[in-house]
Amino acid sequence: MRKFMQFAALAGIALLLCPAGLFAQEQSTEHGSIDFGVRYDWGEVDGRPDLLSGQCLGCGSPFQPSLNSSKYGEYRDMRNGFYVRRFDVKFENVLDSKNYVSLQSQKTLYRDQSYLGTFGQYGKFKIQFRYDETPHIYSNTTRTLFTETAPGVWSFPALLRQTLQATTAANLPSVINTQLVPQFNFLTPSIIRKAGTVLAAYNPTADWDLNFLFRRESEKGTRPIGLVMNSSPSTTTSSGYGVELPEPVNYFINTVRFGAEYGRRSWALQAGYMGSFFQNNIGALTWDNPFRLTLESAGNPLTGRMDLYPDNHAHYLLFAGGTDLGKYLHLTGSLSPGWLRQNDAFLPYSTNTALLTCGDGTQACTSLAALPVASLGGSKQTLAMNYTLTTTPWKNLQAKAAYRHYDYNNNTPVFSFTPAEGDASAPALGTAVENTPFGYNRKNLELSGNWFFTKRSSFKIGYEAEWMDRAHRDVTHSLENTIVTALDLSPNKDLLVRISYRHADRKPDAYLDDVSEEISGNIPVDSPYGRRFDEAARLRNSADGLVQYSPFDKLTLSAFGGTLQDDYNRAGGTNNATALNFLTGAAATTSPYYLYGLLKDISYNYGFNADYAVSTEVTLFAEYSRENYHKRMITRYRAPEQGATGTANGCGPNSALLPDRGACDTPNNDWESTSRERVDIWSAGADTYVGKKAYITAYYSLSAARGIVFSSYLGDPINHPNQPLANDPNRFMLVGTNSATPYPETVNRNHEVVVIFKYKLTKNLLPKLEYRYQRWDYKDYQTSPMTQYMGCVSPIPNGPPVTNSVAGCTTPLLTSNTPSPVGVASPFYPGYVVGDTSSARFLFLGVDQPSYHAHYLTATLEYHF
Amino acid sequence: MKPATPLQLIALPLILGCAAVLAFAGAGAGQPANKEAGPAPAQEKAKAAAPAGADGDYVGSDTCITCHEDQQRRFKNTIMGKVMANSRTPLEARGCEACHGPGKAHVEAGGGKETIPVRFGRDSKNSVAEQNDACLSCHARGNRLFWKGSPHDSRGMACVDCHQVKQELHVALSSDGRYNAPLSENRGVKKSQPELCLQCHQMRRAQLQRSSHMPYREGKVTCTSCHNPHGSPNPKQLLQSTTNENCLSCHTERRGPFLWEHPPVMENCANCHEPHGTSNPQLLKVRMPRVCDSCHVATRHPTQAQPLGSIKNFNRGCTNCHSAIHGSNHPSGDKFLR
Repeated sequence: MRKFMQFAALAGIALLLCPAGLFAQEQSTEHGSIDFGVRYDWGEVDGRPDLLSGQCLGCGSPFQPSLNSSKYGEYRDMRNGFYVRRFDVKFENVLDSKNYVSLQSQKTLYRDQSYLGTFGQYGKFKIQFRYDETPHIYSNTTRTLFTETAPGVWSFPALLRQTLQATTAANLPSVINTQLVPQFNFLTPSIIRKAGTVLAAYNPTADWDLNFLFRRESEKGTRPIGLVMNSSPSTTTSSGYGVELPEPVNYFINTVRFGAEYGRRSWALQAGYMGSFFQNNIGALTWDNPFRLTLESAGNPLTGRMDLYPDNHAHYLLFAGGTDLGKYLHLTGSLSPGWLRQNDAFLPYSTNTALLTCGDGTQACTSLAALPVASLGGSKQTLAMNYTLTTTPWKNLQAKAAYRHYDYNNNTPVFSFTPAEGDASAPALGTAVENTPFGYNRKNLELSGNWFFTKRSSFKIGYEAEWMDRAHRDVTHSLENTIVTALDLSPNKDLLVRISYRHADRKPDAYLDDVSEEISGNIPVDSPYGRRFDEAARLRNSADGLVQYSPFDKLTLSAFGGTLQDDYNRAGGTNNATALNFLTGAAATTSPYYLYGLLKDISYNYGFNADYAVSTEVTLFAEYSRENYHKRMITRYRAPEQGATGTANGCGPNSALLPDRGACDTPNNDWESTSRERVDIWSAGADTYVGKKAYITAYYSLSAARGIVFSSYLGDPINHPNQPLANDPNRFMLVGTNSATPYPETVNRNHEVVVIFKYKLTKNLLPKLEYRYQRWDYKDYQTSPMTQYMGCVSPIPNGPPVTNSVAGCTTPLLTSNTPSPVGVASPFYPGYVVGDTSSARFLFLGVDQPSYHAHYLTATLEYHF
Repeated sequence: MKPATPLQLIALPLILGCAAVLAFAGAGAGQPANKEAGPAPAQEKAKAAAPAGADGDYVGSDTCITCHEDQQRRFKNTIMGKVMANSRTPLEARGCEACHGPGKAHVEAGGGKETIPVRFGRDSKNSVAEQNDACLSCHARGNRLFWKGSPHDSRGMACVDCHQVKQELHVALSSDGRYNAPLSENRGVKKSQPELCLQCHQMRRAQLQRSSHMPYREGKVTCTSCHNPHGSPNPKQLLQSTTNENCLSCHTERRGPFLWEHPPVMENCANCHEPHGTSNPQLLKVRMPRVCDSCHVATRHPTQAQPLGSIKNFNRGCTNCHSAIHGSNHPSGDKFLR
């Protein structure tokens, strides 16, 4: 088949390569070009030596992840062999008419191919066809024992389910590691998007424009999804199960758009419609509980079921127009109402036959009759309105007034449900949950003026306001005032300076989290001082600058810089008026804070570019940039009180005055976390002409990112330690697995070396040799340790490494003869040691994208005809 | 016989299409060069169509060509050149003077840049507004309807900062840059995207290099997939009314309405994601669980620091379990577990 396709491609190309004169109208005009040849890549994935040597825990037999399904080929089809990089053909005045026809393609015949074909007459009509394929590979280290027995139904071998059900908690890790994981089968979660678009445009006169577009896109494949069978996210040896599965993706997305525009020199009107229709061909994901085959009970479901995205459709109308109002005023406006609908049939609450208390308490959760309604009838209406008035009262002055209104009105009806969490928890009757259709309305006003004081130089000052009204959120109304200013300066044609500054102050009228008024376990469910950053009070300052300078024709220099600084930590207003710190004064380990949540979000960047033409043959270029990100948040470990049968926690008396069973909710258990990231990018290269025919370009680039999540406690562990101060409401709880400790550094480096050689053989023939080397280094504590079973690795706790061996966990063999001691940090998993069962009953896919290095060589011929 | 594969279904019509295109075009092969090779009808029309009252200052393109033959040779192969060759309006019929203004003074002065009423580029004596007005006299509609007062307009950007007119239609195929660009008919720009935009938006260049990115570098998505640089009535010059409508035009499955909605998701995808690229998985601004911790100061596990090896931290963090975080339509999905 592949040979046939290559032959077909060659035949097509041969047609294109036929002397253009046979087909063309204009003998002397170029009609297009084609760039084709062969390509070859080689290299290896080397970021997970533990997989290669089989020394990791829970990863089965040794294997080498494939290069082409690695990050290297994330959005590409990198197969070796015949290759059409691109072709482009265009004929004007076909059949002696005024019409033209063109066809372009990229990556022809590969799974990332694109085509664009057009037939039309300039200024009159156009019919265009576009086709695109875009692959997306998620991982090349994934394996599973699940098999898809029907669309959306994943089954696990019954014999193994039986084995796991019969295995004691202590032996689970051993059985999984030795009997299950070695049998896991490879699977590459990936999707491919295929989209075809037909566009037709017609201009019956110069004043009219009619257009129509239809696009159909399919998206198929699988992507990883995590699923838990428990009421809370936990899968220990005693409760809960979890699986990671390939989520089946089988979508169709149809888009229809048509519109018309009529306009004259000083005004124009547009009207149009857009409809978007999403169709999911697999509506639910059902899977076997690998740890249970029989004896279903409330906490031990035999299967789980997930609702995949429901079909939906959206319709928008668009009306827009612009007109001059006299000599100095120009008005533009747009009005776009939209309707969003979704009415997929609901699934039952659960597949668990042991859950019998859904609905009114007498109906099984597996019964559709238990539901208050068969489907949601989801309905939203949006309305976007924009009006902009610009004026140039004087030649060098421009003023603008703009008003924008966006309404996101959620008309979805409200119902009461009795959810069965995770297919493993009987609903508590009397605590039915209602859906809360969220909606909002945003209004924006902008007033600005520009003074163009000399050529290419201007000064801008403006004021903006944003009014936000929300339903079913913490802030029902807020106002943000913004002042903007910008200066563009070009004292001569060689120098351009652009700077801008923006200062914004967002103030909610009030902040009320309804959940913070609900009491559970003798404390509010949500902290009354918690503030969600997207609606909380915020002071924002941002500034940008750019300088471009060409002192002489051969040299161009540019430099840029910018910063964005969001400050949420403001005393008073909707935040607390006094500091919430437990420790104050000299003892405080951090500056005062007046809320919980995000306090600061700061980023800044700078860089430069340079281009220097050493001679007419050689041009050098270099770039450097740095970005820094800094986000700081503060939160509090909050634990509700324990009942008489609960575990003693040492947090004072509970509401029934039982000692050591009180709620823990004091600032002594506040902790902070700062996410920092630094990204440096270097690149340098040269473009060189050798004589008039040969051309060489070469460059090296490096993108290097390092990130760290730093966490620490803010209370007093000395005077209120774990022990001996029991029965103390301020008891310090951030110890052991509750410790706020830093995570290991993440590293992400991408080196690339590129050399391209081109030689102009004739006027029409340009052979090209291209070599690329990529080296990608990736270390991420969240994914680099991932294997199919994580029940035997654990973090290094905030203290001495654990020394006890967890039953059933074997130790990795660093060499063929030397097992690593249990409790010692693994060389493969940064920050991890052997011996933990916190995810004892969770089977993963082992999703990772390890480091790689790759060489890529192409030899192509660019032929112009 | 085996059924045709999708590849065949695509390739065969493509090849047949190519052949048809070539055959179609070839019907006129061997004929004399078309009318454009002779006296341009546009200019003839221009003379005929020019308003009589304005003729005094307009000299017609034929006069221009006597000195500027090279420019005319390049211009006639551009899209504008093609349109003007079949002019639909009196303005188009003016040819060179439609953009450069009346040429009488220039002719009478025997040439010279300073006598051209409207010139384009950095060394032009004309203001940016004057240059842009020349372009907007024809191009004020379509996706330029909202140009006036747009961010690029108010920063004094000239159309010719990005566009070039006298560029032949067929450009070299070689893409030696670091980014591929989607196929486009728009050949009148000085560089292909995203390089064109990155000249000024240099911070975005750095972001596009990140490990977690949409397929910009691979040429499947580019700046104008989401933004309209000519101005739009929407924030950030987006094509759609809001950030979410923009994102959801491709990620339609997340559009809802859902039974259980996560308000920050429905309000703004950019609350959690940075679409231009990040170093965190899933284009997240901050990795999990911190992206969730920033808002959820509830009880129990959302407020625990989460040790490194916690299931709430590694792999996909919170979404190992709360995998329907973008919204759920499952009756038991109130906590986004289903």
